[in-house]
Amino acid sequence: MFDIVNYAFFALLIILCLYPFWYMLVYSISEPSLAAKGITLFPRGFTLFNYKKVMELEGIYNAFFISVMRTVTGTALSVFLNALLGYLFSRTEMPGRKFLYRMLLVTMYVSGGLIPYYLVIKNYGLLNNFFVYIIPGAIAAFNVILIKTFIESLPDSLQESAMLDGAGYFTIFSKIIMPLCLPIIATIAVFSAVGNWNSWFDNYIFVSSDNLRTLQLTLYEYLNEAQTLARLLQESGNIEDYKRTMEKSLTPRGVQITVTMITTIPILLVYPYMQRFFIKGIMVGAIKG
Amino acid sequence: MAIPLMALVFLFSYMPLFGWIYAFFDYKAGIPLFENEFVGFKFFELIFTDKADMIRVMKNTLIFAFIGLALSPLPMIFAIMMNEIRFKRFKMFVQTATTLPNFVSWIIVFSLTFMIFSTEGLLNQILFSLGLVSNPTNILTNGEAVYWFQTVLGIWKGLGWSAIVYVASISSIDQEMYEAAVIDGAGRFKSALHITLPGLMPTYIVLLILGIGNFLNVGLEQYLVYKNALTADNIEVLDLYVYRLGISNHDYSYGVAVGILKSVVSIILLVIANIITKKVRGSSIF
Amino acid sequence: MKAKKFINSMVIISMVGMLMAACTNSPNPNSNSNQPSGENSETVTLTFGALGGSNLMDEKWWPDDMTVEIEKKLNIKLEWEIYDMDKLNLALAGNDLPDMMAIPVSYVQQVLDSKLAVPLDDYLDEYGTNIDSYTTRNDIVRKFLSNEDGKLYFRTPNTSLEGGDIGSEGWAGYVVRWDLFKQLGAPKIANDDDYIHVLKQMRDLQPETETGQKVYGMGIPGADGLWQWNIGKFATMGYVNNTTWGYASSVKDNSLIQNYLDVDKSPFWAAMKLFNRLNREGLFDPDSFTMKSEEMNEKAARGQYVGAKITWDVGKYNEAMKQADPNTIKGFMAIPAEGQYSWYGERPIAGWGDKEMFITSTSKNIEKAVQLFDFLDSPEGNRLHYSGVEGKHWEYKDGVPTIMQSTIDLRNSGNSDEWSKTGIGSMHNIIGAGGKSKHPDGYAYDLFQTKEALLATLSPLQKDFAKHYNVEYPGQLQMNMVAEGKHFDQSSSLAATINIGIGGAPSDISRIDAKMDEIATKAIPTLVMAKNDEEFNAARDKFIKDINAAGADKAWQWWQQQWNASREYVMSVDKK
Repeated sequence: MFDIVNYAFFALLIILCLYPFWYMLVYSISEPSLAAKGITLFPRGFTLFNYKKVMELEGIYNAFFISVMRTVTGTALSVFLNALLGYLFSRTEMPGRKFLYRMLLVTMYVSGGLIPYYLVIKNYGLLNNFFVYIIPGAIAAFNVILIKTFIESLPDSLQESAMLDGAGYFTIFSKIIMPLCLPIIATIAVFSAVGNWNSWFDNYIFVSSDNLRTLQLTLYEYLNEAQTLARLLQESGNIEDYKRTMEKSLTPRGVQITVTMITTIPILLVYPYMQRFFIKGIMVGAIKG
Repeated sequence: MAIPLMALVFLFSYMPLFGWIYAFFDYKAGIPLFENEFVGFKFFELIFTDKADMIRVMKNTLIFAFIGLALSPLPMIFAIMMNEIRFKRFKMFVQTATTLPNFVSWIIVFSLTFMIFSTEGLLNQILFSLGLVSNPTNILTNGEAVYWFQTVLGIWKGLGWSAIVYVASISSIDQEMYEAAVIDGAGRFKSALHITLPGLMPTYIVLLILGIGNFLNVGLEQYLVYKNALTADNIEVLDLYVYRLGISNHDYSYGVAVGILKSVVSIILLVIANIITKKVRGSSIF
Repeated sequence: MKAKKFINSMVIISMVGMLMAACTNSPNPNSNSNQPSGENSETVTLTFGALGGSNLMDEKWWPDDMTVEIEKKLNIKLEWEIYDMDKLNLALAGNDLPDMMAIPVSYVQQVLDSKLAVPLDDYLDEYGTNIDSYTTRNDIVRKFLSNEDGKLYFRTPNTSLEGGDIGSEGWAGYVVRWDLFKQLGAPKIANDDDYIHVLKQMRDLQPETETGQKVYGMGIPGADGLWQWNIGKFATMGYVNNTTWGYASSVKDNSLIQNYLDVDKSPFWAAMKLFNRLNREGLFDPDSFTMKSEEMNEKAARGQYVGAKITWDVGKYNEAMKQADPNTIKGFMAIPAEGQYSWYGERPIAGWGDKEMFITSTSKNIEKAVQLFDFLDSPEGNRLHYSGVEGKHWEYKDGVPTIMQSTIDLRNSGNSDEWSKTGIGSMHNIIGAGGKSKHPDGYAYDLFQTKEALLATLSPLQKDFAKHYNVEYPGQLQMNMVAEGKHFDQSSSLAATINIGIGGAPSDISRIDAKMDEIATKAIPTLVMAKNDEEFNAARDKFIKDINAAGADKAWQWWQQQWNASREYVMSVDKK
């Protein structure tokens, strides 16, 4: 009984979650003129026109490369630093632990605002610099807290026995903690990777160089073109601007949706590999024994 | 070892806080700070000048916040339910599928909902052809339905994604406990209730407290996209309100003042939540 | 411990650095004067940044024929960067401005106060004779946009001492689906009553689209903002808008009225009454409150409307029909009514005031930038922008500059990519003069606006319309009516120029204005959906009460005072 309800529930949920994707896929491969008339379940006509159009965008391959680079390096750095810091905070004997931990926690709730942040980044020489994608956000309080909480839920006996064996902190961290923490590390890796992959704002604000442009900024601009124009028109009040904006062909819905597909597919390809780690981990019992 | 790491935190999270000083000036970008007019607490007072608006906006923010609070166990429950799927491939599939909506940006979600829920949308066509309605309904213009409709959308988009943390935590629960429970004759439901749930509690509590700290930060983008003349009254949360004022007034300092107040409120809430947890559970999170 | 020390010192250094940045980031205008002046022999890259409505430049087609010409003539390679308010604030705060910028008038004070704009006066003799020749514009700009030191810091685009023509067709009026309207015998439309009647009849001719969707009289992409609700009536009733929608200035005498409170006169209330009546007749698309123009475009292209407040709302239908059948007469046209106005002919004697261009004091190539400004003000540059490259797009035929047939064919072919590559018309936000202004050769800059060129570019729909009304091209209908005194253009309006004099409102006023706009936004659905007159009046009274409570009086006093002062000066300059 429990199973039936459970499976039925998940089946329904899957439909709810997959349908929008199916819709976008179908829309992106339909004939643009037919698609505008409305699509429900099946494509109208078939064309790869939209995909071709996106692939022809100037600098799209470089943008893809930059996005991959920042995701890979950003995630690696972030996972390492956060895991290390989370581990350190889990050690009760660390001097000043409480104070520093609170300092870290507070960063989740305060922000100086955009202008000072920009000035800070500028003073550190990070404008138009690849590192601005990976350094400022490398340590995320949220991730550190998750890891610390996870480590604390592990039996103390594990670490203690290792200590007795004479292992140093770093050895314990790399040999015992890291493997035990695989599930949570996989989790923050996914968070960080998706965060890096999806982020466009740092690109928009701090990097004007076309060589360092990311895929997401391109996507963002396509998606928000209409909104941005509408917002900017408020500033103008010039009827010529209204007219030209209305007459201007905005990016067709088909291309918008295709860009969304293209930026999401890589996540879908990588995600299932990460999943193994959430579910398996290394059995706690295995090490204890 | 923690020092260099905390230095990074200091450099990127604390250094920019010097900008709080902008709240006390009528700051215009480009003009050196001290050449701007010093206005003291003017912008803080301004926040409370428009009482009617502020009350409305706070009401909306609190409603969304409380709904969020009430629904905070959902991802955990969802993860437990997923954990009960025995067929492993299906479990993986469910997990991937439910995270998908998280990757669709709100703009696209809006056009999807427009397609489904607008006057001529899919839903009305179906209802109409079934003879269930004679006049089309449009939930996107229904001011009263804002709270639950936006909540449902938020859950749809975020549930699978927020469950990931719990899925990971489940794997840290000692398998021997389940084996022991089976020997004791406990069913799966009992095991879930007495082993999985308590095992996830520390994570839940931590996330809950962090969430309470974020009480006033209910988000912006979703509400921005769904705001229209008819929903405006109920959908305008604090962040959206500040965003709107910022655009029309060019008041940089006003935004900073709101930010400072929000930070203060957040930290107070965080501390209170932590103290309560300590009283109730005997351990605090920081 | 060493690491700690290092970090400590690093922190202190960056702290000091930051405070210095915060305190002393005013640029030093002298620091650039030693730069070598840009030699004409080497190509210099200049970046043009633009905020607000100015940023509609289609950079994605660059290099187009325009930018290639500029590079050839001036050795300037132009780059265009788009700013929004956030980014502009950052650029201002961090002193990271491009070589040139275009900003709305509301930012002028900030730029002047931070001394970020280079006074052009020192360069005019050597590099800026064309800039200097726009005397009326420069007078007004010097007067209003200089912190009263009388220097020339800004230039504006599209200055025109005489009003432009309407072009091939007008966009404001009673917009109808021409094919259906003709089926009805093209009845006379004198007022909103007639229009509603016509919309109803057209809808009845075609109650559903071919794919079975419901057809409405009209729809509004209302979620795009207040201008979508206002602009139609502004145009036909002879009012000109401002950046806020609380005020409307009359085309007739340049007086200002309160758009939200002047119930009998204001375009806002006329619009509300019209939409409310359409709604009661079941002619108004109920999605109007949620639609943005993206959604509206799709519905328009499907043919779900038979009317519109202005023609561009439904332009996608004309496009779609033309694509399916090049000879179609299906499409929308605006019918001018007697005693009403069309939106053309305004004389921006000081250019478009919402796009003040300046050269930044941080630019390393000030002279080059002045040269570019000068070129954009020159006869050569203006002709280039409006009509293309001589010998490629236009030529002198017996001494008369004429658009070449190949150019007209290209424009008519609908091959928009190739057309965009010519860049013709693409610099409208930075070009110096209006299209009707005269080149020294005695002909207008815009050669497309000659009757011959207009006739050559007409679509079958436009031809059919013109034939019906016995004119050569649709726009002539309005022009003839104006000549007969039955219809009005905007030639007496100086609103754009007066607005330059007003500048940006101080923040307490703009807060009130923003509040009123928000109240209006929220009140619109209640007004439009009122089921009867009592409901409408009740909603109206509440709205007026709310607007007054928001401080309308205080803001109105400020606006009136500013407006009148500016108007007085502008009118005196205009008479000269």
